[in-house]
Amino acid sequence: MAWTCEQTEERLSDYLDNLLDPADITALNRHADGCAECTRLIDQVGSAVRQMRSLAPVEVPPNLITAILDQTIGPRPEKKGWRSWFSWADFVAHPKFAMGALTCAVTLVILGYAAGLSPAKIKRGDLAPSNMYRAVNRQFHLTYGRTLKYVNDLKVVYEIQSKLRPVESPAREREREEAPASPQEKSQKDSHPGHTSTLEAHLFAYDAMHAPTRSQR
Amino acid sequence: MQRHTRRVFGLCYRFTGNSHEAEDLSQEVFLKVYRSLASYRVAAGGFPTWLTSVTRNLLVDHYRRTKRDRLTDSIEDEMPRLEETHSVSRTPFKHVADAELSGQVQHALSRLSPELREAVILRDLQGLEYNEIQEVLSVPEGTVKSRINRGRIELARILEQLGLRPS
Repeated sequence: MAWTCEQTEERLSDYLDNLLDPADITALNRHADGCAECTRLIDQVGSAVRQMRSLAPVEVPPNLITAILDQTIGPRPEKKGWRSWFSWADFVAHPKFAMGALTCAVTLVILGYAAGLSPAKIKRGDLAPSNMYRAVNRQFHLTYGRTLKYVNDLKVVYEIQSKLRPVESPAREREREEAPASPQEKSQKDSHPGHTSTLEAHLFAYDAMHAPTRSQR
Repeated sequence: MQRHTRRVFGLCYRFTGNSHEAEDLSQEVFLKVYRSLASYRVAAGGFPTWLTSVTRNLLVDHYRRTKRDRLTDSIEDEMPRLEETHSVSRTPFKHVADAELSGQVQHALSRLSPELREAVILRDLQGLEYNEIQEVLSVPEGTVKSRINRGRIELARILEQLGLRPS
């Protein structure tokens, strides 16, 4: 059975809030199908509800919470004298900062252990500024010396490697471009270069000496 | 604290339509809550419902207190709303449409009777359930439903008069 206009208007919010029984929904729809006025009302009210629900929440003025706290628990005590100078550093007392500081300290201790530092090895005399300076200076020079030595060694190795590689003549390069050799042939050619200069003869002897090692690789 | 402040300020702002008034009323609400915390007993709806109830009672008191002023100073009463509409129209980019809609809904709400206004605000803007509204308003469920229904229909008619097309 279809509803009347009064019934539809009365139960409109129940319909919009999905609180109607299926039988009531059918009765409302049956009425709305034949009543343009009620169809319009349902659309209008449904739209108004949607528009209200789509509104963003009201922004709270930034100073309201402070004003409320001042009125209720009273204004926070202001620091006077020398304490006010350190008011900018209040964040240090914050639990988040303390947690961060603790994490940093633990990380430093772990790194210290990894680098070979141990509290048991540190003597009282080591903590004197002059001794600390000397130790740091010594460590710095040691590290610098080691790095320098390592770089020089690398340089020598590269120099030897560049000298061991035979200098190819332009004619031979052209020859290689025309007929690209297989890797095996290439290694054979490399091991028998057939050059007559003193340096190359020397290099040939070096290559021959190291040939088994290369082939193993 | 921020969540509760937003709830209280939102209710005050939507009811009065004036930011300054809403700010003063919010402070008054929290002062009252702070003073009566000792007498607070966990109610069925919990603290948020109690807070809403305190806010609503203060709003009703404020409405009665200022009723005479509103009748005599009806033009001055319009001023804050006009200022707000003006400032809203300058809000940049995509917020303009939302702000305009908010202004129109606010204007329509202010034309509702306080009983219907509070019911609609609690249901559609604060998102309270029927039983919570019943507790806040201290009226039977049938009355709550009837007020929400009449409030919505009235509001939809005002919005149409303001030229807001159904979305």
